[in-house]
Amino acid sequence: MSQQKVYEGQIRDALAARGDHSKTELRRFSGALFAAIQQALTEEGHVRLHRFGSFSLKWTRERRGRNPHTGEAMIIPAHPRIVFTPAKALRERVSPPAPQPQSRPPGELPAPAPESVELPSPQPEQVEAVIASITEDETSHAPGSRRSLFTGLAAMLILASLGLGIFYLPDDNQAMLATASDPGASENTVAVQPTPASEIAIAAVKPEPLPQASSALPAMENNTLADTHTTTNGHSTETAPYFPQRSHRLKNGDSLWRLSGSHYLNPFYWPHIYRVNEDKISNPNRLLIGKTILLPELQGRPGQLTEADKRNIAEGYFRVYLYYKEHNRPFPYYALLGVHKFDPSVLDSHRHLIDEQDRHDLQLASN
Amino acid sequence: MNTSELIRQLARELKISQKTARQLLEQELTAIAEHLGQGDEVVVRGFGRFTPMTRRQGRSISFRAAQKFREAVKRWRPS
Repeated sequence: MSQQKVYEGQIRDALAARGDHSKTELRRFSGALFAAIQQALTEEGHVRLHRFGSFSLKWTRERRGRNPHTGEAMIIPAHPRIVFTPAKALRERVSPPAPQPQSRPPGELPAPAPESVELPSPQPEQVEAVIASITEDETSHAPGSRRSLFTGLAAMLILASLGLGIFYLPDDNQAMLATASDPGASENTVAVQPTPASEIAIAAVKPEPLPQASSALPAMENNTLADTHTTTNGHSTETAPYFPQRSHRLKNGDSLWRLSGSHYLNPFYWPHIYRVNEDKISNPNRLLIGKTILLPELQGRPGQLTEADKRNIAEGYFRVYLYYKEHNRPFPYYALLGVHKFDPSVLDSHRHLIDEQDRHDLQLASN
Repeated sequence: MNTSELIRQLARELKISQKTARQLLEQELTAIAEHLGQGDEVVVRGFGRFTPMTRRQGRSISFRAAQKFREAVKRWRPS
């Protein structure tokens, strides 16, 4: 393996030597290419290049660190970070795939997996399930056996560390929410099916408009409008919003969850988009390809949202609740949990619109 | 943005055909990938660098193995 620095210009020279394209052409092209990648990254948040890899933005939370020059303790502010994930083709070019681990004869202890076998990260629930059942089997089948005692202990250890891992998920805020709004979220990601005939395919599915949220709630309408108004008056005069407003033309594969993830770097803010575009989106789980929606601004950064941002997102979750309730979706109180997490005062102001049962379930879930 | 969108944009910007743009893009990316495959570090001025790195040996749990182990435990009887 030769390990040396290669400049992209050298690569271009080698390409030019092949004679298909001139040096100037190649230079112009590569300049435009990398500029386009940078631009798309700042605007959309991700760039995927087939058989090469994808560039995306990840949000890094604020953390403690030290100034390398002075050794002085300081707080590194939260910031987005560019992440490059190589595609399978590139990964295998750099390191050829390792051989599969051989299966072991039954009854033998499974040794830790051989090195450099990458495993797909499994869902935490699954992991717990598997391990829990191991411990179960242990205790019920072979008490007293030394080997089983050992594995039992090992399993307990793993379980404990997993438990810790689960509780140390990102913000506590989001960790709680993750359990709460997952059903809605997963529906969102599958909502827009790949359609061969793009434009109208999904439009036909649900034509009926949303009568309740738009017409029967004039009071709430005013309320939220007032909210956004105070936002613009209170903050934006001095500081520009961290996430500026942008419009987006819906395309195949879009969902509110993903749009929020790529635009705001946090998918849990999706009801914020829903609320502003309620006239264009009736069902938040089904988007119409080809429509242009507005991605509203957020003043604060993820993790440091302003009060107005939180209230707007909470209002969004409340709209989702109304939609779920009206269309008899199961567990509408999941959406209320989102309201509760972002701004509980919104719950109080819309108290008369919340079902008794849902309020009860919410209380159970939030305690 | 994905590859085809990128090609469309580049073709429009540089006033070349999409076919040429695709060809150029593939040439460029495969050339970078080839160098990375040889273990070289590729530096793109004003953009960044691609460096293949060696990851240390680590341990992880093979969940398929855990499943097999569980089944084996079920079958096991003290002799």
